[in-house]
Amino acid sequence: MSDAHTTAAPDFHTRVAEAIATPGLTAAITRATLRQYEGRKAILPELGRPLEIRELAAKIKDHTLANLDRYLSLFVENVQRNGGQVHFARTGEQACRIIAQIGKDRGVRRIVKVKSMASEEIHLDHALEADGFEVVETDLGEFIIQIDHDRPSHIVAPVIHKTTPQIARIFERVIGTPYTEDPQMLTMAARAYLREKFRTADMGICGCNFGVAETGTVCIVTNEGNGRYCTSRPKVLVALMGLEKVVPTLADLAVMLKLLAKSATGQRLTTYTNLMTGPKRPGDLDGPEEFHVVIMDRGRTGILAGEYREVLRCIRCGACLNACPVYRTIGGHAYGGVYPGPIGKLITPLLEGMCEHKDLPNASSLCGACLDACPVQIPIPEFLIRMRDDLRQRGQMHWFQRLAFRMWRIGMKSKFLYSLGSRMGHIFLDGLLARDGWHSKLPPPGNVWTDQRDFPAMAPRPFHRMWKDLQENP
Amino acid sequence: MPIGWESIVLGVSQEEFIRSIREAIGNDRPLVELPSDREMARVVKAGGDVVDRFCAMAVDAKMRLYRVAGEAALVETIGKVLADIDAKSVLVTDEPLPRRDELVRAIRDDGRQIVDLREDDCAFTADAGITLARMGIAETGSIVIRSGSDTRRLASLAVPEHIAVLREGQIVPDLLDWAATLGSPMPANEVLITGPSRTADIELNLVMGVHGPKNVHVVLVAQGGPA
Amino acid sequence: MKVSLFVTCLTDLFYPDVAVSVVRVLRRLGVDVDFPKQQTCCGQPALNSGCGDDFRAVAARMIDVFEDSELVVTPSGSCCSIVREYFPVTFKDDPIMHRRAVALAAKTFEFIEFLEKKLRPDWSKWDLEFPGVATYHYSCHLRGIGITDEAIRMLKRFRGLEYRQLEKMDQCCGFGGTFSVKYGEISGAMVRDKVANIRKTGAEILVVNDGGCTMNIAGACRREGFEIKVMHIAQMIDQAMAATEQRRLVS
Repeated sequence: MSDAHTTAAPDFHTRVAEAIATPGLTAAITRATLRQYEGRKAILPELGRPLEIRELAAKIKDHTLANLDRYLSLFVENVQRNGGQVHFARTGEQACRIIAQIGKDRGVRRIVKVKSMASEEIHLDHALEADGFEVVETDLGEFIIQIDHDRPSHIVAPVIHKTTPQIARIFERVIGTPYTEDPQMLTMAARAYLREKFRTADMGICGCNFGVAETGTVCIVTNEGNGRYCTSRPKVLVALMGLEKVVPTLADLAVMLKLLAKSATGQRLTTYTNLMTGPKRPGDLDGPEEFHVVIMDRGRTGILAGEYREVLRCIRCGACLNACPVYRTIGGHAYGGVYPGPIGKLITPLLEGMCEHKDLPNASSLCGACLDACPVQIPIPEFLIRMRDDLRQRGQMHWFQRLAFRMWRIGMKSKFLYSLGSRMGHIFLDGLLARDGWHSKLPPPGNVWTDQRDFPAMAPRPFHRMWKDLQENP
Repeated sequence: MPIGWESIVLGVSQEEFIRSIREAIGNDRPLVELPSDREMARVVKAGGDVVDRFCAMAVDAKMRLYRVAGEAALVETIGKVLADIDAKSVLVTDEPLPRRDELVRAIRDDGRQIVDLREDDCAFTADAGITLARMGIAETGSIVIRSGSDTRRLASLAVPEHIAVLREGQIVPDLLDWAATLGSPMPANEVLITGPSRTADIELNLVMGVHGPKNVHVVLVAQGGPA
Repeated sequence: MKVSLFVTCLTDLFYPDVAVSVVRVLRRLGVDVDFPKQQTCCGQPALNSGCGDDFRAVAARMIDVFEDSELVVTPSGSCCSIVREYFPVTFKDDPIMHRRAVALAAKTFEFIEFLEKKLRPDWSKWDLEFPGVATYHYSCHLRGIGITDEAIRMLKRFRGLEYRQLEKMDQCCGFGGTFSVKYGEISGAMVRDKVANIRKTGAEILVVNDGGCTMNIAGACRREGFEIKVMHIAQMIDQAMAATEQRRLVS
């Protein structure tokens, strides 16, 4: 699925159709997500009381959000006390400009970057490249995405939509690696290429899994080690942090860490849990000389103020993606935003505009697997329903549907109408169109159903007409 | 350069930022009470087989574990590891490793070069890096590496083989216990290492040593025992 | 014990035999069953579509209809979860209705949940037999009401029944109510995946305990020309109990 463009088809249904039509995509995504899904289920019981710990984590987040002004101030104070600098960006553009300016002022040319969802939101790479910086993504998956001009399809595993031969061709084309389908050799080729970038980079950019208020610490977790490189070797470090990433104390960080990797990939912890507090200390042989944290709003205060505040609990583990049958079927690109999957169906409308993304909250069967998986128990199904209602109140519901449900309501409020209506439906719809108790073709909007499968005719006698017999002949 | 002056021009001031958060939260803040500690999230209690659990978890995370009865055996064990990996150049930190002088001598006697810690790229050229781990966490099998003037962060990262020396007495039961030992002052960097560097990005095939070491050797020195 | 049957609109209109089985099974287990005749629907389609106001109107009516019931039992997990999870939530700004909604939620049970958690009959007395090979699809809304493997435990009680686990048993079949007529391509792909996994088990019976899932999966099986008997666990228990009674009559 490598394409030379980064824009997706504008229409959700089109993107979905493309995804479903892509051979092997559903299978690849299902394989990867199932592995992580089963991994999570297998390891969570190790926590003893996983449900209670998830409830605690949700409470920690809710408490922090309810007092975010206080905790964020404390965080800032402690970052500064340890020699770091803090910048505040209301918008994505501001964040990009701040980071670019930091780079310009220090004569930065080469930037190495750790995966950060926040940076994807603001298209940071493009902005910096437009300003003449060389930006190198260093997570293997993100690196592949970058050199192929593609977009990631999963929060944690960005290239699960790509096959090994596809990746081999990309490496051959862009970095001159002799064609090989051996993942070990491809990975080592990336290692050699990126190692030199790490060694010579002027600036490192990372995201922030958690910002600890009591110490001014930025914590990031990775498996590959690129996170440590980017935050240890270059002289300048910039951490981009959404304002909701704060947790109060180190003990709270420990609680979150117990849940994060287990929920994401079924690991106890990721290989590297990296805590950074300010620039290097006098005498340290390595470490950044400058430590910058760019705290970003970009619509988060709007979510904080609104009815979907709990969405800000999200720790970006991807567990909901792995559990979601819709995500498994259509993959990440179809969602058309930075955040795919169940949480993306809420975050994208909330950050980028509800009316522009009204398909997202609607394209869910509300199965609840996401809530089941979420380490901080975000009530995703409930919020999806709420957002559908919100969209209706903003006039985004087709008048026909509105009318249909008005009439349905009238019918359901009267047993007589319900009974009569169903009787008429059986006599006319079933009577005229059904064959052997089944419909293979219904008129609109029923055709959306029958395009995919048959629809049953109603039973000759509904239960409410059988009850009398059951009373007499139990 | 005044802190953040340019960013106030490019971004917003702290005051404004915090004010907008306060406004968003509103006046009737929901009361979300937290318990006084996080003990309900504890997985491993003190006492019992904390060391055994550490060993089991570390091995499960694909680290190589060597239990040595005392400091004397430490030098020999590290020597064997270096021989196994055929290390030609070795990075040894200035940290207070047990028997450090003896270790350095033994490495040189084996014909291996010890790189200069102060040389900027030393970690990029060494075949192995030997560091101290200040702590081990039994819950997850993690070792804890801290930055300081006697070490390099890259000593446990840029080398293909990382050898970490850990004393059994430094193993704590749970992540909560580790968190409690951090504090003022915080080091510039502290990292929990739970295995060798790895990725599964290419069609879920697990490959080790993608950026960090492909092997982590934990030499676990027992309490007491021959000094 | 007295229960009121909440038949649900889909079961009422499409699968009334399931409800008949529910009644017969409960009566055999000594439960008194009545049927508040004014019932229609729990309102789920409106809720899922974002027509919260229409949902509230229909939910309010249902609360009225079941006000005097001691216990409410329904053969559909999704409708049960709507009552338990969303009835209270939708009336959160109306203290009186909220209280009534909470009361209804507290006394409403899904069928197998009712058997396994409330009634807990002594199944050994029944000597249930049901020869065949069966597999089971875990309907999504059972998650929200705390039902996990109760149905599988029940299936394992039938003598002569071989139970084969369905791959990705708990993955949604793609019904989702209005989802199936709004996002047909996704829904269709999901149900075809489900049928493929059912085929793989080689089972002759598919146990599904929800009207929506049944419509969806049975419709997809039919479209593919794949014949399998789709049953609600209530129907299996009913049949097995009737067979036991017959055996005892003869002897």
